[in-house]
Amino acid sequence: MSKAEGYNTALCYQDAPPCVCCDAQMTSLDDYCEECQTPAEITRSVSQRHAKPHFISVVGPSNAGKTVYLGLLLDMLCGGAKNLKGVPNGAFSIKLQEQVVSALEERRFPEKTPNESDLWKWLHCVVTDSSQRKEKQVDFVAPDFAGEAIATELEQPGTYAAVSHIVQRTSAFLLLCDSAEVRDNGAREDLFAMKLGSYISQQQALSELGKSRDLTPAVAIVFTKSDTCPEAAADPRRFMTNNMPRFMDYCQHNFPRHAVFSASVVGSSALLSNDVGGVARVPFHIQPRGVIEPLHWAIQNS
Amino acid sequence: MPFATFFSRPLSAFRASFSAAKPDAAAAGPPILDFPGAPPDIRQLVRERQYAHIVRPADGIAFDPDSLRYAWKAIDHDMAYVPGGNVTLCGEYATTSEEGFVLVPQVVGTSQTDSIYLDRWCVTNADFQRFVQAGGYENVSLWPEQILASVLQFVDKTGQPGPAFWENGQPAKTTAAHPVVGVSWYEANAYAQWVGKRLPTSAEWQRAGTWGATGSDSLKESKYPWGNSFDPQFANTWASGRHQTVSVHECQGGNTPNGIRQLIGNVWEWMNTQYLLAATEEITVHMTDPMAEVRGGAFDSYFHSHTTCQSRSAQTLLARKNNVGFRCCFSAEGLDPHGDEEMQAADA
Repeated sequence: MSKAEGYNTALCYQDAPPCVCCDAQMTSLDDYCEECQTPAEITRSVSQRHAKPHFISVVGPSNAGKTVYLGLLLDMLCGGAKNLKGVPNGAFSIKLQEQVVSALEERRFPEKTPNESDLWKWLHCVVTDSSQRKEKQVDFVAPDFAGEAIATELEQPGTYAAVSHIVQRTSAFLLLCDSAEVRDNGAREDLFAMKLGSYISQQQALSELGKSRDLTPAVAIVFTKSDTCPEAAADPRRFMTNNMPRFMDYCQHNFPRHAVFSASVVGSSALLSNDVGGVARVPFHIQPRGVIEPLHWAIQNS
Repeated sequence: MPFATFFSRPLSAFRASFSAAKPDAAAAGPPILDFPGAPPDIRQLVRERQYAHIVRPADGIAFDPDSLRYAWKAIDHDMAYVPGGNVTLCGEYATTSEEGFVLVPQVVGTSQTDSIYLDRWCVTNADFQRFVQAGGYENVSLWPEQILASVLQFVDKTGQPGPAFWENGQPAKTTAAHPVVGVSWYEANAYAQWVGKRLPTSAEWQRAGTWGATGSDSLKESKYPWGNSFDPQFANTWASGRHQTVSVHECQGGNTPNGIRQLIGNVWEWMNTQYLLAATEEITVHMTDPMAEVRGGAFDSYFHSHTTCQSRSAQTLLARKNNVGFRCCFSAEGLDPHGDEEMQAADA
């Protein structure tokens, strides 16, 4: 390496903050963290704010509604709702919102999140909570995980470095479960949530090994698509006790700070199927219910 | 209305004549009409908003002119004349694209509507309470035979007959002037029959929202009763930030020129039109229960593009949602309203 090349490389490292997700050293030329595939723009965005990022992760099985939830949540935060007001920090944070809002307004659901972690959309939003006498401001950072990636990471930890690093740093989880799936296939969903809970405990314990106190994360269990499951909408905690007893027990023993919510974004829909076995709902109109409340609780409890 | 009368007093037919209407009347009670000088039976029919039975008697025997005069006075207060005409009905069909199942907007066609009288505001909790107290849920003549078993389940939170979110057969005290919600399509129909009216069709409802506001530079119908640009001050949708129903007295900036309120926002309105979803041939639409169209959007409608006069949504006929209410109408064909002069002369 010539002197000039060495000097340039040194400059690249000098300018670049470490990855916000895994602390790996990045260069100013990197688009993604080599270690965990976190986009460099999220790291730059967070480091420019000079505030400790507040990782709130939206996790859950495939098709639980994570993308719709996160995208609409961001849109609602921008408009201000229930004492929360959000300002996206950077144009990249609006990509997910744009994708979800455009799709819902056209009365369709957005495309599935790809499995490749470098294609995930991230958001960094400065959220002001004015529900208390003293305003609280948090840098809400979240990726839109693919459900399949989460499932793969649970089976083979380490496959998705982004998932494990973010889970380690997350102070509050919004664990989404499709309420109709829980009602109809309770044991399967219950066990998946157990696996996820166990993975969170394990990852967070690993990250806390060198610390003097044990900090368990806040966990909000959110039953999504509750427009199709009135039982979940009426009393989400009772619904969880009745349909996910194992995970309810697990939460009570391992996550002292947990709460149960229900959420929906659709006011009315129709179930369609086609001759190649595809089955899906199409929304007729959008009326968000219970979308903000889990985040508000998570901010106040983490 | 006779042709000659229409042209001699055109504004009297369309005007927004509800004298108690005040833009800042959010806290006011429900609009109540009472004619102490009327014969007792007529007075009761007017108080219970059943005056349509006077102008359109079910047995065909006409009421005396004095009774008709009171009935038309009540109709003038409560309802607006919507002239017949054409509307362009829009809908959607389901198809498959790269993104999966999608709904593609389409123009269904033009529909010719007849003239109607349409309620200026949605049926309120106070209105519906009179129906409940009069034994509407026990009156089998108001319910189709096939849903009589379901009528037993049309109860409130305390198990009393009534809308889903009432308690002890009563609405919350502060919501007397709010549109009644938590009523199924069948309950809306039963009430409409009880007062001698019916639910409007989608085309009639759309005509009411668009006939007076078509821009002079466009042949298209206006999107909203007040024009083409959404304004959250004019309609209680998500954007207005209220997130609950409001009184029928509010949002009067969004009135139609003839004084019909809150066609857009506050509550979706049940239509007398079955919802049918067209689909390309590879798609099967699974609708276990029949659905009716609902129009106008509600306090929790997120996108105002879903709450135009042309857009539609649907609910199953038995759904009792907290954001779906209704208003009633009756046909204007063959009716001869008593004019202002006659009313004033009689009053004098």
